Amino acid sequence: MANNPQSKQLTDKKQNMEKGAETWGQMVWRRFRRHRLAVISMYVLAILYLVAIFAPYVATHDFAHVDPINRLQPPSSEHLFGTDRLGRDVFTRVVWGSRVSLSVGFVAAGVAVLLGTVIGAVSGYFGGWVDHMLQRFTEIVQSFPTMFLLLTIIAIVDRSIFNIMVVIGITSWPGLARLVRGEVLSLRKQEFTEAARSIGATDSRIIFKHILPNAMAPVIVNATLRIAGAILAESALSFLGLGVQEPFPSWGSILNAGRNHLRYGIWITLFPGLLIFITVLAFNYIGDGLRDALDPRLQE
Amino acid sequence: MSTYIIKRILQMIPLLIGITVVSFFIMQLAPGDPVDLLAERTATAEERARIRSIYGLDEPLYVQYWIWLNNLLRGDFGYSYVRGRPVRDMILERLPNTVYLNAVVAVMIYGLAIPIGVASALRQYSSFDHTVTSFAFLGQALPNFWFGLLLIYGVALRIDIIPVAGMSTYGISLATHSFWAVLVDRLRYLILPVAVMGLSALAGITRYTRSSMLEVIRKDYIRTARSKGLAERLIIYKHALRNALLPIVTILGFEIPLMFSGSVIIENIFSWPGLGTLSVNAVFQRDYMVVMAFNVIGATLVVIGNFVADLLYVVVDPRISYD
Amino acid sequence: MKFERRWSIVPVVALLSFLLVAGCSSVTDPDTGPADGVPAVGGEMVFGMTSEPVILNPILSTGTPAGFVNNRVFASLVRADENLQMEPYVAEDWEFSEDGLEWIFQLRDDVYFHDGEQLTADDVVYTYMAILHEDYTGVRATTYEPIEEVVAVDDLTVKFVLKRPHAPLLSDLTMGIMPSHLLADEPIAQLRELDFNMKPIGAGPFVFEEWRSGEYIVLSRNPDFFLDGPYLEQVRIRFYGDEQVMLTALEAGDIDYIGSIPPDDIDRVMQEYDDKLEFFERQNNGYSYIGLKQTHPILEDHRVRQAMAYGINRRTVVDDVLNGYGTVMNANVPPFSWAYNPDLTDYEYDPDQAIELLEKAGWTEIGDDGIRRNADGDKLSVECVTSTGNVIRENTLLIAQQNLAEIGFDLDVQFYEWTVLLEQYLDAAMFESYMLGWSLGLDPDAYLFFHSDASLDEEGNLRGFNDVEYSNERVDELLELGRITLDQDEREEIYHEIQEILNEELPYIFLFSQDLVSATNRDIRGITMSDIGPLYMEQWYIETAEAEE
Repeated sequence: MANNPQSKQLTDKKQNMEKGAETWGQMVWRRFRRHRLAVISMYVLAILYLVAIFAPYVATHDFAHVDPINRLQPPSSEHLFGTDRLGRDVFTRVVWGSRVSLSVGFVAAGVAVLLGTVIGAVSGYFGGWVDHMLQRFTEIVQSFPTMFLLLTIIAIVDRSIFNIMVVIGITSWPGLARLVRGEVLSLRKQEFTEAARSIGATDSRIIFKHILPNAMAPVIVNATLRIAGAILAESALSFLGLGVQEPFPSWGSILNAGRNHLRYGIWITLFPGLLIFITVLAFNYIGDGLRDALDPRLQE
Repeated sequence: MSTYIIKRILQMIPLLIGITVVSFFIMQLAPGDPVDLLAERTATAEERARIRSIYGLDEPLYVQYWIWLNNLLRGDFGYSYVRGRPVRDMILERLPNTVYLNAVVAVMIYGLAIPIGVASALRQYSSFDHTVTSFAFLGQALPNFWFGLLLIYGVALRIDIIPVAGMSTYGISLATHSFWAVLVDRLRYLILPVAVMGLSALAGITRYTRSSMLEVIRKDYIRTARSKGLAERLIIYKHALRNALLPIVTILGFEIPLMFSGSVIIENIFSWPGLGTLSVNAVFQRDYMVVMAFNVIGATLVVIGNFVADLLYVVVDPRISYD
Repeated sequence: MKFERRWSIVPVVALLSFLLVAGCSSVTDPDTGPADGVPAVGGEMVFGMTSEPVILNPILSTGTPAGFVNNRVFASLVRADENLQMEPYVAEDWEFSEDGLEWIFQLRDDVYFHDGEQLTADDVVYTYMAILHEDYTGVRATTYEPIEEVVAVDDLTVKFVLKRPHAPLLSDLTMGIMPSHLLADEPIAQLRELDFNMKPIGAGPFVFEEWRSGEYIVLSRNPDFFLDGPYLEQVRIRFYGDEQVMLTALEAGDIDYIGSIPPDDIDRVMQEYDDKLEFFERQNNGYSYIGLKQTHPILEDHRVRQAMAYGINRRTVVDDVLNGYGTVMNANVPPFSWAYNPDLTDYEYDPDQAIELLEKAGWTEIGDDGIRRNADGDKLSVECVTSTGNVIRENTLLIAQQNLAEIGFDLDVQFYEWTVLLEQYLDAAMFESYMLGWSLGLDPDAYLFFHSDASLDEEGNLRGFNDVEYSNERVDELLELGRITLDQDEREEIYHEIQEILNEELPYIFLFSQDLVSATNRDIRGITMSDIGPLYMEQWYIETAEAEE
């Protein structure tokens, strides 16, 4: 995982670039733009996030409004995505549900990145018994099949939206920790680290100011993919009935409710699933685009 | 080599102990009390205390852990509080069904993914390659439970010969029917779950094979072989493929244990009588002993898988030696 | 999830004696009466179920699936006939002592367990004494608590000695009798862990053969059964992940019987499969309700509870959630029972009446959030907890929530896992209100639900299921009287009065009793259907069985 020489090159490149006409950010953006699907994905996600933010204005109905007479109506101009078993507007529920589903990705990935980075960096930087203990701990967590661990923890905590996000995060950090540790191991031996140490910089300053910024490229790529993974994980949990509770919708829980009405209400299942699919696909494409943009091996 | 194996096994011991500790204590964090699973709702405090002592729940936690661990080492996973059965029996009776499903999926995806991945790498940037890459991307993003429901709606509810649930028709067995009749029957039940599980796994492994192959092709020794004028076919199959498959062999070690947890949802959708349905039920019912057993077994399989993968790596790649 | 449903009736099973298949007023269809063919031995019948038994041991099992299997494999002292009356089964006769404290049962001399051993008084003694044993960990101790001891007078005579007269006891003696010769040496504390629970041996019409976890249980015909029949050579109970999947299997002809078609599908299935399937509509021996904590500052006001009853459109719930397959309940006894009181206040949906009651109760101000407030500025807001995974329950509550919101009453619905709901709310009796359902026994006795002694003790432990802490002296008196009165007409009056009081005072908002529509393959004959399920399975046969053989 640890592509040390590349990171080194990247660091050099970054330093060179900053001096030149084009900043590092501009370079990454220029290269990212060449990945057409990644760019399209970005626009798609931008729209989805705008919808989530402006849910109250986009939604055409009240997401909890029950109207049993109009239950299981197929999509129409009144109900764009049809209605569910209680006559609630599926479009409205999908719009509101996007708030949960889309924020899960960021919070969960955020928790995973935070834990993974701190544990990986401490482990790689200090080495010795600290490294040894943290490595063993990471290995133990990593050994558990994620789905089992997730189910086990979710079943015992209070299932608020926030808890679900955090639990997904704390079951998915080990990969990141190993990645960061590898990067840090290679970086701490390099001149700029030595230089910083020689002028008396503290450990935490060296880690956070000097090493981590240089190790961020693969972390960013990995985090993007984690977001996609977290969105899938949340919807899978909701699908098993372990997610966000009624009447609040998430894409997974709308889909779960539609499971009993495949025959007469396929739209309840179809639309939220399609949105999960599109969102995950978009994050994967962006991850791919970022990988290409940040990979120094692909020279122009 | 043997010293390496011994060293690796010794390294696994603290890891396995850590796994048992986590599995055990995570369940102790659960609010509530296993006694509630056993006692009547109206049980008095004394009755509860009595049940607690019958099941050894009045011992301090570390004693409970120690007893549990000792039993574990003897292959005894304890009794399910909900079912009153040995957890080992509950798992063993479901295990073959899950292995069966996953084995079919594994054979199918490796059988398809490797040739497709290799072919795609060899024709990099061709339209075939583009199609494969796009499909692999789509497959990886597809929520498999959603895909499963759509298949039930689109296929099973419409085509009578494709069943929605189960794994075989009662009474159709080799004892009473011809081999072909049994095969056709089993295939009818397999087709949907395998399609759903296969698609996402296929996508991942195809991508992995493709990139592994691409990496090898770019390597110096392949260029050297080419420059020496060796036949392309020979280069690909003799040199490139062998080296490209190395990392794939190793991910087998990771992938196979992970497939078991991946089949949780699929089994749930298609009422497949395997470990997946058992584990979800156990989680819902707070069947402590069963959940603990699942976590221990799942994690141990991963550890062993990694170990086997490491060994395989040494076996298939003569350049690597560990001393 | 399915098992939620099973679990949700665990507490109830304490009161329930596997009634789903045990008997009540007959509505035998003329098409299928035994008259139109000669029963012949042979064939297999497949039952579909959405949840699987946990263990098969009559004194420890809970839930409908286990009850179904146990009732086939085990025989009991008595069983219910078509009219809900107990009829002889293993016991051929019985008598009570004058004071009602001693019940003596005479057993048949031709009853044998499937392993060939004769069923004797010792087996009956073992079965009931095991429950009374202090190490017993199952859920039936409360049901049999009135029993002091059970003794064998001779090989075929059993005496039940009671602590006090207890009329409902007879209908609780429908529990399967276990073979003491196989079990007596095992410590009661380890009963739950016996292999026997996975391979039960009883004296019922069908012999346990095989259990494939997650797939099916197979039973075979007991040729030595002590009554006529059975005719079915094999009975298989097939388990499905959910009811839609099971329904598909029924439509494909993979199974011959399901107990309840999902409400949304009833009309379509009845229309499409009329030639292949026969349908029986019956009431469910149970009801759904919202339990209201009687000591809660808002709910203790009787007018608020009545406002809730008027303010929830229970008709809509039945019509739209149950697709019309249900009955609105106004008290605690379902309509088919002999104790049902038809003359109760209907509380027909009337939001104006509800508002008036709320205003009388002092909830006059309406805040910006649309929620009413009283003079102290308290909000008219009550939390309602329930379990996850039951779609009908969820839908009902969402409608109730909206109905109540319209009259300025905030019902704050919270869903919890069944175990969490029990541990943290119901067993602790710590809730404002909750929604659940009861499955009932055949006897209208409701002591454990509404008697003040079944409420909390001084330490706050629940002594029965009166978790709403309802307390009414007259009801206490009537419930006690109902238990010791043996004459059914007198009891009917007693229970009518209890229903009137409950209907007026509303410890619960009684919601509905769901009607079930079962479907059976038309080839299966000899079925006796009752309001609470099919009866006498030993008499069922397959019309074409002979031709097939």
